[in-house]
Amino acid sequence: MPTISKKFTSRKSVNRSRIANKTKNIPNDYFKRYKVVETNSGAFSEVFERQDEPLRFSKSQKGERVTSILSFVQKSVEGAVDAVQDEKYLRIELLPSSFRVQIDSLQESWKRWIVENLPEFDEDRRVQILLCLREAVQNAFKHGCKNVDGGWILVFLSKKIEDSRECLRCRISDTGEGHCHDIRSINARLQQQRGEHLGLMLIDGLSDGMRFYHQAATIEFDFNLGKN
Amino acid sequence: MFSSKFNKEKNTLTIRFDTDLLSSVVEQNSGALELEIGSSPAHKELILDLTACKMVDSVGLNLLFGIVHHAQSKKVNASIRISKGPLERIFEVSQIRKIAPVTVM
Repeated sequence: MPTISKKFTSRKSVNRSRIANKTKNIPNDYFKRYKVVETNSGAFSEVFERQDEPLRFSKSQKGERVTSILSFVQKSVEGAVDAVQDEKYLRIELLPSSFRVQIDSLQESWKRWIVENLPEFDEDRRVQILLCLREAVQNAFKHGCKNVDGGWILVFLSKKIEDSRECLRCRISDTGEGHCHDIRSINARLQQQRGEHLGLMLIDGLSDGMRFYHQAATIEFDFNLGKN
Repeated sequence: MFSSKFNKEKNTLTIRFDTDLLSSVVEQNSGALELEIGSSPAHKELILDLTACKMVDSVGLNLLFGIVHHAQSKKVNASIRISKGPLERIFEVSQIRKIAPVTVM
């Protein structure tokens, strides 16, 4: 399991009762394992640490707090609940749709995190992962949240073992209604020639497996570890 | 984002991209690029030099598709140059080779 950087672990922890008061829907013991390890007034408000794993919470630009990651997940991404409770998760990030203009900053933060936590990936593979994350999150901003404020996006990165192979699993969900995709259909291929669905085609082609859930409000894709 | 060079002897226009072709960059610069290509001297060959780029996203690819299609409509031969590395796979998946030759430098 990757370890969190020392710059995180050395940060001051926060009063947990303050967090508990704002997260009444969460089981009492849920946040006891967390502490704030980084607080910024800029794009990302607070990064939480669970044991040696990071958990990121974000604010909207208006300062509205995400009351609970669990309630968001339960409400909009039911399939992810089990995964959230899975001890193997690595990083959870909640993004308000107002962050759509900060995609480059987000990409930079993912890059830092991958370099630090998943050194198994070489630069070529890292670029492919970042590109897929970028495309998926931009799709969620554009199609899921309709490019307006008020929506939310969950970026969930976990390490999974599938068929005795270890992989990085990326799951991006949005609070939109979703819309069906059949990426392998002939129509999609034809549309690609005109530039439609090119982002999804990149994710499909670069990753080691892509799936949709919730009428494509959730996209999930894997990158096998050890394959470069 | 880009610089251009016209070779009079070879009648070739080379557009060199200095940064990764990502949505944020493309959206701010596509107008200037269109203007640059449009105002360049008449040329028979267009080279899109991406050897300095490591990442091109779907918006960047759409820009390249658009430039190539525009060039071909003007009977200009368009080609793309990239460096060895992550762009090779990205270009393979995007199937851009179907509309323009891609040379790995």
